[in-house]
Formats: sequence, C-alpha cells, structure tokens
Amino acid sequence: MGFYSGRDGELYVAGTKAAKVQSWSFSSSMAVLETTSLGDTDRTLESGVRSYSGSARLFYYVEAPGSGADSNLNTILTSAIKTGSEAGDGENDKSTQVVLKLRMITGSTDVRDIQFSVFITGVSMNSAVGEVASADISWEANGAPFGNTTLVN
Amino acid sequence: MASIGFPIYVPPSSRSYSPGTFPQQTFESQNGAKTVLRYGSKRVNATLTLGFANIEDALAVLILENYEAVNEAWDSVTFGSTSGLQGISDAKRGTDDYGVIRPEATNGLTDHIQEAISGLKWRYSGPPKVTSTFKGRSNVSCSFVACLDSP
Repeated sequence: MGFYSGRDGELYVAGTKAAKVQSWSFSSSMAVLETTSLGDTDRTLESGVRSYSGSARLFYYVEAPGSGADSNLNTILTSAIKTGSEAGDGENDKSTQVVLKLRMITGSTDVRDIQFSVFITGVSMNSAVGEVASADISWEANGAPFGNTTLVN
Repeated sequence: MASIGFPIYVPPSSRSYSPGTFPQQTFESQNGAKTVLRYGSKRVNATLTLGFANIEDALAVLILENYEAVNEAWDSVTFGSTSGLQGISDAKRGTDDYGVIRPEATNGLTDHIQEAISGLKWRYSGPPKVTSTFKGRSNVSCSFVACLDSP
C-alpha cells in the first residue's frame, strides 16, 4: 500500500504536533528569467527565485477547557498577532517566524517530512451556529525547506 | 579614430532604431507659410537602443569594457549580425503588397542600421545601464547615437 491519505497527515508547529488539524497544503513556485533574444524562434528561460507557501485548517481546540490552558492554535496565533498595550496602539512587536513541519506518516518507520520557517500571512477564524469553530491559516516560507526534507523523496 | 566592434555573441532581446533627421530649421510665418532652411543633405543623430535581458554577468562586463574602450579614444562602434544586429532579416522586397513590381531595394535592414552607407558613426550616447536581476544575471541597456564626423 503506497498511498497516503488525510489519515496519514500531521502538522507540527514549532516542534509540537498540532491537534485537530483538518487539512494542510503547500505549494512551490519559481519565477523564471526570460533569456529569449532577437533571432530566437522559441522562448528560452533561466531558473529564477523559488518560493513556497501553504495553508492549513485547524479546529480551535483546548484540551482542558476552563483550566486556562492554551489552545492548539496558540503558537500560530501569537506569532502572527501581537497585542498592543492599549486601544489604538499602533507601535507593537513585529510578527515572528514559526517553524512548520508537514508530515506524512504510515506505521513507525515511514516518516516523510518537509519543514519550513514561515511567516503566518493570514488567519481566518469563524464561529457559527451548527459548526465547530476552526481557523484557516495561510503562510509564506522564509527561505528554502530545511532539515530532514524526506517528503520530496 | 578607429572603429571598435560591439561584443559578439551577446544577443539583444530588444532593439530600437531611428534613422535620425536632416539638419534643417523651419520658420513659420503668421499666415502659416513655412520656410525651411536646409543645412545639409545627410541624416544626423540616428539612434539605436539595445536591451539585453537576463544575460550572464560576464557578458555584461564585455559591454562595460566595450563602452570604456570606445570612449577612451573617442572611437566609434560597429555592429554585426552576431553583435547587436542578430535576428534581422535582410530580405529585400521586389514587389509591393499588391504584386506591383518595383525596383528592388539595394540594401537590407542590416545595412541601414549599421549606417555603413550613410557615413554616420555609432557612438554611445550614454553609459550602459546594468540592473542585476538574479544571482549571476543582469539586464543591460545601451543607447547609441550616430554622428556625422566633420572631415
């Protein structure tokens, strides 16, 4: 059985496995440099800058409600959202990077990872009657994937 | 004054040429009548702009060195089919769009842009502009003006 499904997917945020992840995705793209010159009949290209971005959806989940424990989204939200000291405070901390590791795992030996240091560029949370509260996050990677990048094998 | 060839095998990605104008001055009277004083019968100030997109930095260096070599001694620049004029078709038309036979053009577009028959000499009208686009790659823009040297 060489297929993988959502059952095999995991998301690690700053080294900790995130709970209640509904989905994750990432995409890679590369800008090309056009080197077509006069007299050519076909477009010629040179490789350019690569970039990586992605998104994930997590249910908003607290292991022990009422205990004051952090939610499963704490690291993501606090890296993206910095609170001010008072209303109208426009000078606050910058958003920080967080390491996301996207994993496919079957059994205990087949572990396939890709890891990025990312900026959370979008958070969209919702609460609606008849639905479980969840958050959609989107991110853009700072630099190339690093570490144990076995997902590409 | 000698002529120095533009670096070969640096193919441009864009080229713009204007044949220039004839030296003259126009006076327009109040009733709209025009009087034209002609100072010469040869074109002057033809312009040529060459753009090089995403070329290797080593090729950009060749262009910069050419700019220095040409201007150190007030030489002129020449262009060939592998240096600045790449991609030009030298086909000559013997008939017009309606099939009417007319005298065949004696010169191709290369001859015109080279200014070999006009006696104009190409010189840099300004320094080349080099814009780095990526590691090891640059955009270069060169502009030239063709001058009629006094005898």
